[in-house]
Amino acid sequence: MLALIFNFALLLGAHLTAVQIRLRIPWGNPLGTEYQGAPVEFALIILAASLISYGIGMLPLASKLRGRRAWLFGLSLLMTIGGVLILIPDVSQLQMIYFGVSAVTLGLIAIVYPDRLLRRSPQDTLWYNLSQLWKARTLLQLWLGYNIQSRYSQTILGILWIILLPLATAGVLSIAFSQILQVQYDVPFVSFFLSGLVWYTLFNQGTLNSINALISRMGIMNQVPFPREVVVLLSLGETLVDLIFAFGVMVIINWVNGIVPNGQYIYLIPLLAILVCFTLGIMFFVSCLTVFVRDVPQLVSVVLQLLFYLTPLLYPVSQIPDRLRVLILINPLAGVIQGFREVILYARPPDIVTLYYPTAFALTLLYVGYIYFITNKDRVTDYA
Amino acid sequence: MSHAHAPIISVEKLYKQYVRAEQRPSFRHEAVNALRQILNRRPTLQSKQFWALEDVSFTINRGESVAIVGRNGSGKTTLLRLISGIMPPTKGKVMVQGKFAALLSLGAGFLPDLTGRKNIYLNAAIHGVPPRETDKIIDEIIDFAEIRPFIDSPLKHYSSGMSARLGFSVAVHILPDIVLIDEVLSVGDAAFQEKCNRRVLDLKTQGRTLLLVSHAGETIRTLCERSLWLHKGKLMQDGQTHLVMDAYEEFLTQEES
Repeated sequence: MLALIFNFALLLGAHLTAVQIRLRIPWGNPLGTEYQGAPVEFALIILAASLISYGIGMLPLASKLRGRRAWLFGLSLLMTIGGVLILIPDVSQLQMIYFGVSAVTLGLIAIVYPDRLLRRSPQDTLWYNLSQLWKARTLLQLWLGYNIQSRYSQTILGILWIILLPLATAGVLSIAFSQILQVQYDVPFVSFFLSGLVWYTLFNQGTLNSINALISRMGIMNQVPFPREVVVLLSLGETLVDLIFAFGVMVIINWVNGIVPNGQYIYLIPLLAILVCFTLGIMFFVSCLTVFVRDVPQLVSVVLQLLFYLTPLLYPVSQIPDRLRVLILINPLAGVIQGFREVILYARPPDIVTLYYPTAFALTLLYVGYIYFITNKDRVTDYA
Repeated sequence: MSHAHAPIISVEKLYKQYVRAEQRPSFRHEAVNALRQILNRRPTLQSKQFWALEDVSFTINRGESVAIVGRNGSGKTTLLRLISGIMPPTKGKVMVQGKFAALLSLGAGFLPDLTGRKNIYLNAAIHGVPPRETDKIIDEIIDFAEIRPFIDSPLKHYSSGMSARLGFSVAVHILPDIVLIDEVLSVGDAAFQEKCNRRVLDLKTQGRTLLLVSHAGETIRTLCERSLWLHKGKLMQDGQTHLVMDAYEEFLTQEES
């Protein structure tokens, strides 16, 4: 319960601050005067949105919408609609999307409401699971070592492929973007693209790996007991090792292009931490959900494709038209990638205010994803 | 040991429900069911469920060796899996006091792509034995399993007998408090079986708890003093081996005729 309140407060604070400040201190171009800060009204709106999502989360199906739940649902719906109409007459598209995001996120929290964890036995709590995972660290270390060994020894070009693939993508896209489409970049395109792609690949590859994380190890999971989180962390570990190589290549290529490593690289560590939390949260969700609903991989690939273009990897943020800037604001990856780029290309520390929303989002997602995972991991062996 | 007299395994009103495998969950099923429930109709794609274990209760004390008998599909393997913690029960409680339990089944929980040696380290680590401890016993494990020439080739090239032998060897050398054996004593030739039986007897004399699933009446009579008879998920009889086995064998001959 305490965790839920903490989580709620975190998200609320994040939304308030991110929306309020983000709209006044924009990237490059001002975003317009669509919102002047009014914290009280804003808090009410978000409260209402979360009540709705809580109501939705508590009822599995509409047929159960009776009694107190129906009242709760109706009340929260009225509050939100009324709030939007009365308190903020000139509600913008951006604000609507923020409400949507908050409603969905809090709905997810409600669905995996932590009290459900206590259903089976008093020892089945978050801390118990984390301590079990901590005890399995030697196993994780050993297993990860073996996986990496076999991964890089199987193909002759093992490590080379990891380096060559992003380079090949960068080459193809640089022709398309800098030559044909004539987008203006202030740094060489390869450097521009790689400084974002290297990090984005961690997210992309991690999500793809997590699809098979549980399913491909069903055999061993059915025969020996160990914390199931280990297999998800294995996938993440492999991706992190790949990142090290890709990062090395990126530094070298940047150097060739005249962009030397700088002292601001220290900021890469917190940025990477945010990205890892975000990715891990998604990985916990995807790996578990894939076991129950086999259609998930197809959906994931479509969403990843979409995200690739919605994240400012190929184009600078300043080139986005004003009306589409919303897409960058609601995409938590955009802020992080932009932060990486500031550090690597321009030797500037990342904008802390911009990172507040991604951080809150990533932590919430990790928390919710992990709770979802540990609530459902026991069902996994039943579906083998 | 402070809990010397407390039961090492206690099983209380244990239920395990399975959902039949033909009902694979998918968006289509979920969507159709959701729609039907909204329209207040009975869901068509209702999943069929059955109880693999129903209301099973017993306790096992430290150092006891117990056999589980029953026909195919009576829930023996499910019971071992619940005790080892691979899956949770639907209802009821399983409490295990020991340090850890090693489950011996034919699959043994190995990864086919890794070599035998790596699998030994991994399997030991899963049971909480760190690699530096495994270093001390690895030669013993390899020699016992009689697979020294193949130890550095991937497990997928092993014969089923070889990997079963390796699994048995690892499980008996990492010294678990509880040994759960699921019909693996019959692997290998007569000489290896003899070796296995001797090793299991060794573990027994060391005061380790033994839980054995087998169809071989002779093995059960020599190794276990107590037996549990499961039939269609229910505990039929729990008592001294010769009594339970006599009843079970009589039941089998009755079923045949």
